[in-house]
Amino acid sequence: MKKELLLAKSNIRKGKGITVGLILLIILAAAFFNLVLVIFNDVNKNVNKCAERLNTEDVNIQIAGDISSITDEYIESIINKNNVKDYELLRANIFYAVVTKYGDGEVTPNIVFEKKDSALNARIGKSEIVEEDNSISGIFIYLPYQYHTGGKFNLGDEFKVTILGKEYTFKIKGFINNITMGSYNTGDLLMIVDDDTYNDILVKNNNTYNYLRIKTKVNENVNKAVFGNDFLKTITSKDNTLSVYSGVIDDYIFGRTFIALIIGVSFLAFSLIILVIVFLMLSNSISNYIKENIETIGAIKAIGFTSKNIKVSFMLQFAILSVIGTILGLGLSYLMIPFITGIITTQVGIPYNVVFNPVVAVTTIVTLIAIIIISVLFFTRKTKKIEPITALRDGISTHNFKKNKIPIETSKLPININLAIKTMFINMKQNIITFIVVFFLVFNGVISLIMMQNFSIKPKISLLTFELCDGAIFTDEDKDKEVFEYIKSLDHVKNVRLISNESVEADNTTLSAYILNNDCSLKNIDVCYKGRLPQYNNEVALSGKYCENYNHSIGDEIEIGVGNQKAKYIITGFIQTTNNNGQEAVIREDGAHQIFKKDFKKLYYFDVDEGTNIDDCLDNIKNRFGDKIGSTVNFQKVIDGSITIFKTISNMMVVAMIAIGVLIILLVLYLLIKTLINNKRKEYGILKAIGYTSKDVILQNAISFMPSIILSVIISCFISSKIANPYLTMMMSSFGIMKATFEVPVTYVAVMGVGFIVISFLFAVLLSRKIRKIEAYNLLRGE
Amino acid sequence: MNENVLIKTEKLSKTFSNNGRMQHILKNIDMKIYDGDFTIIMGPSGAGKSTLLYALSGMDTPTLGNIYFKDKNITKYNQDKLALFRRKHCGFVFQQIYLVESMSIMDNVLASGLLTKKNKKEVVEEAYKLLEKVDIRREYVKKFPTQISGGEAQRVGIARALINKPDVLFADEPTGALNSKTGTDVLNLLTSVNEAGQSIVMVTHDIKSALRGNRILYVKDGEIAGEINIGKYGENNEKRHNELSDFLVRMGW
Repeated sequence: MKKELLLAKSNIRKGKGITVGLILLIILAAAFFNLVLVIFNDVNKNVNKCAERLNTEDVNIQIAGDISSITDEYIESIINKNNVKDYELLRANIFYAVVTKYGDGEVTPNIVFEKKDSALNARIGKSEIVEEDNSISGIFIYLPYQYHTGGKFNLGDEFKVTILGKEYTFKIKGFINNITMGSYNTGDLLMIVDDDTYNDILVKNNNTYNYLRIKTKVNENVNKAVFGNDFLKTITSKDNTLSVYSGVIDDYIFGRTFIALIIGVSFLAFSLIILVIVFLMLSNSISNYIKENIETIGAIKAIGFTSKNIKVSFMLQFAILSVIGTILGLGLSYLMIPFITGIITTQVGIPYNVVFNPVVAVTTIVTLIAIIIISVLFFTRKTKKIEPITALRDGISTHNFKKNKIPIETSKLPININLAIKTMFINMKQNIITFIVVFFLVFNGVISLIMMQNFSIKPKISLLTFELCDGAIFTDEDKDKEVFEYIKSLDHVKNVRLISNESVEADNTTLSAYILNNDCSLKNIDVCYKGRLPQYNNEVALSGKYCENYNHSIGDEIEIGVGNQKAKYIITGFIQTTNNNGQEAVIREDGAHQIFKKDFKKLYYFDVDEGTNIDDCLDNIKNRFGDKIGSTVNFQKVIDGSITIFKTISNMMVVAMIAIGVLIILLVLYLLIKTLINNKRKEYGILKAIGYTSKDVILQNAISFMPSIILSVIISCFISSKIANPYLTMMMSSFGIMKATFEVPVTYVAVMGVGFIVISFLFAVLLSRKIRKIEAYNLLRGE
Repeated sequence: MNENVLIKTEKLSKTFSNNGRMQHILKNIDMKIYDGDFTIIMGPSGAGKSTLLYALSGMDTPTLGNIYFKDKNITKYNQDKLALFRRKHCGFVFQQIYLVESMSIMDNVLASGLLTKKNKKEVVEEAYKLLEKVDIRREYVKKFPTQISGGEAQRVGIARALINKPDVLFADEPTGALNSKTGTDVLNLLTSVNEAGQSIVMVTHDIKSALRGNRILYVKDGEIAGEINIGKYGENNEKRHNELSDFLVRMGW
C-alpha cells in the first residue's frame, strides 16, 4: 500500500491545478447533497418534533355557525371511543377573511382568538411562545411566528385588525407556534389576545361562540381522513346548516413544508447535476492523466508495478481528494444551511435550529466517496491494457487522426477561427462534457427565471388561488342580497359573483367546495385546466389531483354529500389550485342546494374598470353597510402579501442557481482548458515558432469551446422553455398543480443565455492566458 | 559573399541560471549574416550553436547586447512582436521537424502561409508548388504527419518554412533525425533553394551538411572562435572539403 500511496501523492503533486479544481467540484457536490439530505431529513423532522412537543391533534373537526346545539355532552355521546385516544374541545370565535398586513401586502386569514392561558395550557394542540416581550402590557397580541418570519413583524410593532366593525390596534407582545393554526397556508390562524380584548370581542359577538374545534388524538390504526369525514357526517346529519371541516395532521404538516420540499427538490436536481459533472470531470482527468503519463505508466509497470497497483494508486489519489472535498463540502453546507432554512422557516413558520446531523453527514461522505471510487475503478480499467514496452515507446496513439475536419484549403473561415474549429473537433470529448454541463446549468437557470417571472415579477396568481378579482366583500348573511345588488349598481364595477366555501364529502374524503352563483363567470380561466366548470345543477368540477387519486374521469358520475344529504353529479372538468392539498370541488349554487339546506357564507368577488380606485369602492360599500360587512379585500394587496415568500424564494433561487452555474462553468472550463493546454503545449509552441502570436493562440483555444457552449445554450434555452411547464407540473403535482402554464420570460432567458456565452468566453480567454507562458524556444530547448 | 547585411549582432550575450548558478552560453558575440548566404554554424555540443540560431531568429531573447535585422533592433521586441517578426521574415526547419500532428500536410503549410497573406487562392497555389518542389506527391497532401516518413515530413517542414518567402531560413540540424538518404535529399533541397537566392542559416555538427554552406562560423564556449568562406556548393567541392577540414582541425573539432 505504501508504494501506491507514494504514487498517489506524486500524482496529486504533479497536477495541483486539476486537483484543486476537482476538489472544488467535489466540495460543491457534497455541499448541495448534504443540504438536500438535511432539508428532506430535518425540516420535516423538525415540524414533526414540534407537533409532538405540542401534542398536536391527529384530526381536528371544525364546526362554525350556531354551535349552541353542539354541546360537550353531545360530542361525548357521538365520539367513537374505539377510535379516539383523547380529545379536547375549543370553543371560540372565528372571524373570516380578516384583512391583516403581511410582508409587502396583506393576507386574509380566518382568525380564531384565544386567551393566553388556555392556548398555552391546552392538553391537545397547544401553542408555545417562540419570542416574547414581557415589558409590553395593555392591549397586546401574540401572533403566529410566521408573521415574524414571513410577515416581517417584530416584537413591539403595532398590529391592526378590524373585528365586527371595530378596529383593534395591538402591540405585538410575542410570537407563538401552533401546528394546525400557525400558518396561513393551512387556513385558520390562532392569535392570543389580552383578556380585556378577548372579552370585548365576546361581548360584541353577543356573548356567544361561533366556532368549535374538536381536537382528537386517534388510535394508530385509524384512517384519519375517514375518521374526520365520518365525524363530519354525524354532525351534519344533526344540523345541516353548520359549516364543518375536518383536517388531518399530515395535511397540515405538508401544507407548511411544501416550499421546503420544492427547494429540496430543486437542490436535489442541482446536486445530481453537479455529481454528473464531477463524474464527467473525473473521467476526463483520469483519461487525460493516462494519456499524458503513458510513458511513466509504462516505466512503473516495467519496474514491477501491476495494473492493480496503478488502479489502487488512482483510487487512493481520488479517495484523498474525495475525503478532503466532502469534508470541506459539509462545512460549506452548514454555512449555507442557516440561509436556506431561514427561507424555509419563512413559510414553515416554525423555528429551526441548525444542528449537526451526523447520520446525514456520514451518508453524504460515504455516498460521494463511493460514487467517486466506482467512477475511478470504471475509468482506470484501460490501464490494464497498457503494455510497458509499448507505453515506453510512446506507441499508444492518443489520437487517431483519420479525417481532416474543416481543411484549411477549402474552408472559408479566417485562419484563426479555422484552427479553433479544428481544435474543437480534436477536443470533441471535452466539448461534449462542456455541452452537457452548460445544458444542465442553463436548464436550471431557465427554470429559476421562470419561477422568478411567475412568482416575483409577474406573479401567476391564477395557479395559487381559486379566483382572481380586483376586490372582495365578506358579508353578514342577513344583508347579502342587498349588498349584492348594491355592488352591482356601483359605477365602474363589473362581473360581481358570489363564491362560497363549504365542506362536502365524496369517496369518504372531505373536499372543500367552491359554490358559485348560477350566472357566475370566473376570471381565473386557468383554474379549470381540463374540461369545463359546471353549468347545470347536476354538474361538478373536481381537483385533478383528487380525481387522479380516486380514478375519476370527466363524464363519470360521483356521489357528493353533506351528512345524510347526498346527490349525484357528473364530473365536467378538472381544476387545479394549491389550496387544501388539491382536494377541492366546484358546484353551482342550485347544485349545492341539493345537499345543503342553508344559506352559505357570502364572499362577493368583483372587478372594476381600469383606473378605478378599488379602495374607494371598498370604502363606499363599507360605509353603506357598516358592520354588516365582515371584511373588504383589496385583492392586489392580498396578492402582494401572499406572494412575499414566493418572491423571496424565487429571487433567491435565481441568484443562487445562476451564480453557482457560473461558478461551475468556470471550474469546468478551468479543468478542461488546463488539460487542453497541457495536451497541446507542443502544438502551441510550434504555432508560436512559425509566427502565431499568443493572442492568436489564446483566441483559438477559447473559441474552440464556444461552438459547444453556444449550441448548448441555444438548445438548452429552447428545450428548457418547451419542457418547463411539464417539468414544473411534475414537480408541483403533489400539491395540486396539474397543468402548469407558467410564462417563459423570453427576454430574461435570452439575456441569461447571452450572459452565459459571454461569461464563458471571457473565462475561456482568461484561463487560456496561460498560453502566453508557452514560449516556442522553451519547447525547442526542452526537446 | 553578398555584402548586404541581413542580421547584425552587437555584444550578444545569453546567460541561463541553472539551480542558481549562472551559465554564460553566448558571450559578447559580434557577427553578421549576409543576404543570400548559406551560413553554417558549427561547434561542439553545448557550445551555444542552437542558442545563437534562435537568438538571431527572434525565437529567443538575448540577455545582453543587440540584434539588428535589416537595421531594425529586434532585441527590445516583446513576444508577440517577435512572433510577428518571425512570421514576416523567418522560416524554420527543426531537427524534430515539429509539424502539427493534428493537421494534414497541406494544413500545416497553409496554417503558416495564411498568416501573412490574405489571398487564399494564391497561398494554396504556392503551397502546391512548394510541396511539388520538395517532392511531396499531390495525393500526400491530405495525409497527416504520422502517416508519412521522416524525410517526407522534413521536406513538408521546409515547404512550410518557405511558404511565406522568408528573408532568412533558419535550420537547426535539419538532418539530425533522418537517415543518410533522406538527409541528403533534404540537404539537396536546401541547397537548391539557396541557389535560388534564399538566405539560410543552418546549425550542424555534420561536415557533410556543413559543406552545403558557403560561410562557416565556428562557435566554441559561447564565442565565435573563427569563420571561413569556402564558396558555394558545387564549385570545386573537393577543395572546399579540404578547406573546411583544415579549418575544423584548427578550431579543435
